[in-house]
Amino acid sequence: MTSDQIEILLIEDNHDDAELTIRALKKRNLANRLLHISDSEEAITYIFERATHPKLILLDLKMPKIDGIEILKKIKSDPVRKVIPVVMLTSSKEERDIVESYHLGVNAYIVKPVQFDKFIEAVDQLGLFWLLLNQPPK
Amino acid sequence: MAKGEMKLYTNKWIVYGFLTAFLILLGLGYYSFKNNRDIINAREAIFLSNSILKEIEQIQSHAIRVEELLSKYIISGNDDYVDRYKAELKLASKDYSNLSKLINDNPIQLALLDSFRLSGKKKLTLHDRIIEHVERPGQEQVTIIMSAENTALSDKIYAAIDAMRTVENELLRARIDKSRQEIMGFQQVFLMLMLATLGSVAGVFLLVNSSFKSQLMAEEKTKLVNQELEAFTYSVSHDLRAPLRSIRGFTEVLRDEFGPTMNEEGNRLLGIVMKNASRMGQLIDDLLDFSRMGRKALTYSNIDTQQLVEEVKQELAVNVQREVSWEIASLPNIRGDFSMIKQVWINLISNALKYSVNTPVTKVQIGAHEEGGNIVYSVKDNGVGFDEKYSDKLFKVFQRLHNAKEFEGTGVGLALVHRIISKHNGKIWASAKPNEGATFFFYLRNPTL
Repeated sequence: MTSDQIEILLIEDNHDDAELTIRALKKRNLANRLLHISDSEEAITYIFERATHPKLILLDLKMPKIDGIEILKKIKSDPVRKVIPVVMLTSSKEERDIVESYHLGVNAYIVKPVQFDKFIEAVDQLGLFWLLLNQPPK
Repeated sequence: MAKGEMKLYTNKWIVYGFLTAFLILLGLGYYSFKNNRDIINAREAIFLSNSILKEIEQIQSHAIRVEELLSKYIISGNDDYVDRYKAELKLASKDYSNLSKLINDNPIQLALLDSFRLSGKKKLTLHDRIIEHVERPGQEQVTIIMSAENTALSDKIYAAIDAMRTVENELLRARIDKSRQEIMGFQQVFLMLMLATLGSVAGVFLLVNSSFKSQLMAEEKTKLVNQELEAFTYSVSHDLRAPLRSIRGFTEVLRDEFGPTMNEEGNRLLGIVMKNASRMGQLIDDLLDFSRMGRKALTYSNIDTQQLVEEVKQELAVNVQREVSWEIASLPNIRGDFSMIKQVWINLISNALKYSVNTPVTKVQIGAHEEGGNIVYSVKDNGVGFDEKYSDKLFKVFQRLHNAKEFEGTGVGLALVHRIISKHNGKIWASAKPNEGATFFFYLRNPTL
């Protein structure tokens, strides 16, 4: 898989959650060119050392070492990469996370529901398909 | 509890400190008032002595003038001197009466003055003999003036005056000494009491300071506990939900992908797993809401209850498939935390709808009345109701009066309502009968301004 093929970058340390997410996206035919990175440091290297960028980043909020908020901060303060749409994935309904993410310029926010079909619903509601069809602004 | 006791302990010593300072100041006030009066008295005594001395001087100078004028009359024979002599005597008698008034509380001076008066009187008798002489004064008058009797009288007069002066001078010195001592004594006592006051005020300040400090520390501690609780809630929210999500998610995947190849029993068992995973997810969410509510601070605003209830009704009615007869009376406004009070109405009205699901026509009545100065709101339904002997369990967390099969729920809703209303210093209660519906009443109490 080469970098220019990547459309969705999924950064998620929990492999079970990652699998469920990928399944949900597959159900909507959105997972054709998806890369899953489970380590946050590795993910930062991937995002910042490549000239081509993914069309969308799905980012887990709570991860060991560097958490999602930190990665979001890095992306949104980079003059080039700040245009990449970032969707935050989280287990928590904690208001402060949501508020902080929006302050940092997150594009969308999904609270990972316990029910899997609700997650598919959430993915649908985000209009990810639409996002992937349209070129993000340069 | 410990905090309250400690505060009381501190307050007791602060009160003692203030009381001590107050008593010392009171004593100081009384003492300085009394001392001031003494000092004024001493000043007046000194002034009196000075006045007496002045009068004595004047009487002496009158005595000298009188004899001088008389001598001049004898030498010149000029009658003018007699007139001036008489005028001088008049002045002398005025000063005499002034002096006798000034010294009337001093028997020594009075005795001396009396001896002066007696000698003076005798001398005046001699003088009368000179003045009453019809012809020009001559040798006879000179003889009188020069007589031993006259000289002795003069000596007596001047001796009396001198004695009076000496007595009064001594008195003056004693009075000045006394006044000085009084002032110095007052200064010492004043300084001492002042230092004592400063000491007790400083003590009170230190106590107040340490009381504030311990209060602040207690607050810090509460804050820390809250932060820990917050962190706990946060990690529960994340960590407990993650495995649950996997259980539920993968069971779903299992059912979707392998369901068709499994028999009915297999699918039923998968259904049970999924249902319970969902239920546990709901329990965790409700518990987190409940715990978060406990720590949330109230933001008071004026709530348009009528509009709020109408809004909640619209939101909840969307999910109700059956016919519901709503009766909403006029509902007065109230002060409270908007989002919390909205939660109260949501929970109460959704309960009314939930527990009346089996009645042919669901009837929900919402009203308000005044009772003991409070606005009591009520939500009444015609559902299953409950036995009032269990009403003490009604508002406890995870307590349910119906099983999950009959009516789904986690038993957090009413506990949350109870917590919100308690936070508003209000009260909630219910009346019900099995199968005859339930009515929930609540009121909020405005924060004291």
